[in-house]
Amino acid sequence: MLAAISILNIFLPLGYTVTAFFYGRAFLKGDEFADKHKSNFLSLTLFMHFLSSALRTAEFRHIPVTSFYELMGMLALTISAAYLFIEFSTKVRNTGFPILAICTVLVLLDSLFYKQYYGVQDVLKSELLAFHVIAALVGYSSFTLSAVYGFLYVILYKKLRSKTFDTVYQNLPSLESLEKLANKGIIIGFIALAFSIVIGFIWLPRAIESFSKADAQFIGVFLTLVVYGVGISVIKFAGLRGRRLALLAVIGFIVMCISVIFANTFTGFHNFR
Amino acid sequence: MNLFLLGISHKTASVEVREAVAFSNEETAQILPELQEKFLKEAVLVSTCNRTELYGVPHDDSFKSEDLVNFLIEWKRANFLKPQHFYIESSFKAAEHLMEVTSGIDSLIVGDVQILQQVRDAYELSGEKRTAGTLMHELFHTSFRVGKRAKAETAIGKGAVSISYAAVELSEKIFADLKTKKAILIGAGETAELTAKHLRNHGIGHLLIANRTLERAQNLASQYGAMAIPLSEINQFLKNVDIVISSVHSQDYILKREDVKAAMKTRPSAPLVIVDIGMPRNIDPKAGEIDNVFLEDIDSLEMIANANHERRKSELPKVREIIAQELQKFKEWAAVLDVVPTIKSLRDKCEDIRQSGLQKYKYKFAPEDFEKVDELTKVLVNRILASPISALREYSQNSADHPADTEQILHAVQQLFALPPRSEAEEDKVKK
Repeated sequence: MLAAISILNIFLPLGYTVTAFFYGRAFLKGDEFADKHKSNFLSLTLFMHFLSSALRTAEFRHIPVTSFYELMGMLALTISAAYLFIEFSTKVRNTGFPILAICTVLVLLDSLFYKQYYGVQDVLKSELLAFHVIAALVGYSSFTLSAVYGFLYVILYKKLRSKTFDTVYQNLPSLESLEKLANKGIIIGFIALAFSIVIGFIWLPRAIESFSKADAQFIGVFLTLVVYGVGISVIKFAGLRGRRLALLAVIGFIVMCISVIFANTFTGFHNFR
Repeated sequence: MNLFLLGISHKTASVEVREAVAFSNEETAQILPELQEKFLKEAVLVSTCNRTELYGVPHDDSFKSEDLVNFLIEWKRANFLKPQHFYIESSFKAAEHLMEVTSGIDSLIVGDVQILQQVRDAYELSGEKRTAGTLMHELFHTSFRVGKRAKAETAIGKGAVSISYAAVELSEKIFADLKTKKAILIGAGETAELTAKHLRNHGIGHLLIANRTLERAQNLASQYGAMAIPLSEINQFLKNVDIVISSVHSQDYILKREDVKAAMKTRPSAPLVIVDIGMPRNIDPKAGEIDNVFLEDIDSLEMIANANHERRKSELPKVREIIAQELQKFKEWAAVLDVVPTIKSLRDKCEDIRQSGLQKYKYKFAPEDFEKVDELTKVLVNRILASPISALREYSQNSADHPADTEQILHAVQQLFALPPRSEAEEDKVKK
């Protein structure tokens, strides 16, 4: 099984790279072959990723979410699964390139810094922790997707204003569709991350005595929620939408990334080892 | 294959000439039986604003295309028409041309999707008049298949190529669902009418039409389920609409920057699409600087239409490939059709021999045994003929591009089996 995991560890980043390449060719060059087969490549890559996660869970006796890099890998899985769902349910098929490019980077990080951690501490075998992690993954995935849709909104907005009716213009869905997707991502992300932080604040100090509420990760998430919360309130009460909402999605994502990188680089991820 | 095409189109004649030879449905219904009586045993007449084409199978070798041309000119009393206005094709070239028509690549606007339904209507009318026979049925059904495949498998019909359609397409790039949107058309002329038609086809929620002459606005509004308003009241409605398309002739701006700004204040982030098709421009260009206002003029729409036109043209090779595939199938079908009378003749000859033999020896068998002998001889004859008939069909299909080779084989079969010579009447009966 270790051999299979190692093989998948190599093929997974390759799969994501090839998939992102196909989505990129279709989006930027209007390549028909790429457009026809890109979703199939994504489905295959997702299947490989699920398989890899299942094998790692079976081999190491825990879901691969116990380190920062493992979480990046799982984040890539949830983002790409959510994107595939969006593709099938909305028939909006041309927005995958930036999303899968992000997933490729995340999976690459997971593969490069892959370590074999066998088992976890008993205190971490808790359903509440599972809810905390799942909610966090849903939250981060949603914010990532909303940021991409916000970014694409701004691109299309600029193309319309500058009267640039090129291939990218042709391939993007309508402004309203992008706005709706970004909005949904923000709302779902906010609720999920708020849920995650509440569980975290309640459960973790009880489970681990040495755990500090000044944990950098918590502060980062809290800051992210404040940014999104203020943004959502301003937009809702001032009735703003469109470009402002798109910019909120992008700014919130940047704050989220900075807080995560800061927390991991300078103070370390939640350390349970 | 004895297929014939006589036509006149936008490629060979001006609109004045084309309209002189255009046939209404009533005229088509009237002329088809006359054509069948005098010239063609099968006939389908296709007549649209850009072409009139007659597809047919002549009665016999005495048919002359000049006689048909003169007949049509006389029928329509269009004596100013000249032979160079017409084009004539025969056999598989005529079939290929029809496939080019139904696929939209022969249209004035490449990828025109309406032509397929127009050809279908013409074929159905010929069916009602019983002027379409075996060849026409197969030819037109093959051509409809070409049209459907071109639409499904290529992008030949995708993207707006007219100004009014480009305006609607642009709106759909901003709004996800036009059903929940309101549009106002300024003007009630031809461009406004086309735009109203496209907006309705795309499911616009509410449509208003504003014009200086309220009566004209009301006439147009009644055709498209819209509300007519006087031009002077536009500003009152501006804050509630999502799309404005203007196409009037006016020296002054119909909408100034301040008007648009005032409307946007009541709807701060909701996008407003303004399309200015007027010449001189109807909308103050400075209105386009306002946040969330997308102001497009005729240049933008022409850019969109031209880009789409180029994209359609790049699909031509794919459509030609589809036409080549279907034409080859049609040729193979036509080749088999040619051997059917000979096959029938061969079967009939063998059956005659079998029956004559059975009659001769009938009284040498008990009745119940005779039935078995009858069955046995039938099976034997079928088995003996199975291979040569199958080989004949296959040979004719493989030689679809060389009908002379098939003719030689058929002649050899006739000689070998001493089959009676084929008469045309018999062939037609068999083919039907």
